[in-house]
Amino acid sequence: MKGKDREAIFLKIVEEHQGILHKICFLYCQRESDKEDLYQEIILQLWRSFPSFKQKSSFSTWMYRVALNTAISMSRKPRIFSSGDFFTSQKEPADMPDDHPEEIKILYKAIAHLKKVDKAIVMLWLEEKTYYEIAEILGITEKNVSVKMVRIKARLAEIIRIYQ
Amino acid sequence: MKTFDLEKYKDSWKSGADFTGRKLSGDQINRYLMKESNDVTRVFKRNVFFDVFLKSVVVIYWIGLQSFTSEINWVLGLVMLVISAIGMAIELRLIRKIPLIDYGQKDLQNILALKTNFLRTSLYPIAFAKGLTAPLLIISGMTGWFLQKYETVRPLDVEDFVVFGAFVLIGFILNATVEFKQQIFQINQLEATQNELKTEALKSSFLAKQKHLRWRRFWMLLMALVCGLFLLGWLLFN
Repeated sequence: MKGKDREAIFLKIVEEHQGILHKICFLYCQRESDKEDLYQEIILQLWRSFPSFKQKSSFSTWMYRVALNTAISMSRKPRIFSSGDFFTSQKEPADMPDDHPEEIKILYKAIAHLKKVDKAIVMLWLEEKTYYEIAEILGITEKNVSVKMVRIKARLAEIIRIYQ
Repeated sequence: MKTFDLEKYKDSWKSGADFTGRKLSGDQINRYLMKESNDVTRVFKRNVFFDVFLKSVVVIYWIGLQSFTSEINWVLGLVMLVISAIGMAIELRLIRKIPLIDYGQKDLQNILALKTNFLRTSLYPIAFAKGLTAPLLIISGMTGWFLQKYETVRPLDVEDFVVFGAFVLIGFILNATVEFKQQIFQINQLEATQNELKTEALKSSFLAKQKHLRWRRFWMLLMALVCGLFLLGWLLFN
């Protein structure tokens, strides 16, 4: 595949699956500037990894893998004149549109309260990935995923109760 | 521990594919591709290249000075060139060691470990190499200023040595400390995420061990009970 063709295919597929990007950036960043940085970084990493995409898994699974690996392993820069932290201190996603069902707003808010790794696990689970797939993406055991899921569900129940 | 039915949220989650209402066009995505990566290893590489550039300027400056003026002691020039060369050699060696990470091939645990290991092993060499840049620039600037002002580097007395030496030392310490602190800041974040991944693994292995022990105790009790019943039966019927 020639460079230009590959780029065109890449842009088309990413455009089609951009919902994944929005979900991840929305949940991992609060500040608009941080979101922009994350969009940019995920797209760059997707492009860099694109030649090794073997189509063994679906594009969305692969995209989740790259995007989550990028979001979780991307460390924030030291900020001298800022009180907020990139990723870690985020409690609620910003700019949440009003015209969406209350249920999904609460779900997003609740997930935003979780830790970085827990957010990834619950997102993959909601996308109906198996424990095996989640474990494989994160590099942990299936047992570990199941233990974490129990705790995540309990934590989400607590948070959702507060919002309701 | 109270759990709840997360299943019912799956459909809501999937329907929220474009939840933010934002749509990126092909052009916007393409523009992102033109930008620089902010990945910690890429930022490291860019910063090191910039430092190598600064040291190269120092090298060119001192070669120029040695060629065009006899006012500079050649030993000082040689020392400056050797220090710059050592610093650049360390930095270029570290650039070659930067791990190339394919985010689509590696798992998160692996990615975090690769980044942390690289930052840990490069911590002291890079702090030392970058620390050298400030003294090199201070001494170069100082000689330049003397040459421009007095057309020679006037001999320094003890007091001058103490003052200039202090500046050079402070420059080195400040530069090295800033680099060291920044890298430690990144390492701490990566390690915190690694710990977040591992915590439940430790807990789950502990739980598995406990479960195994519980089963062992159960089988031992069952065997003791069966033996006890046989013994009781034997005593009763004999």
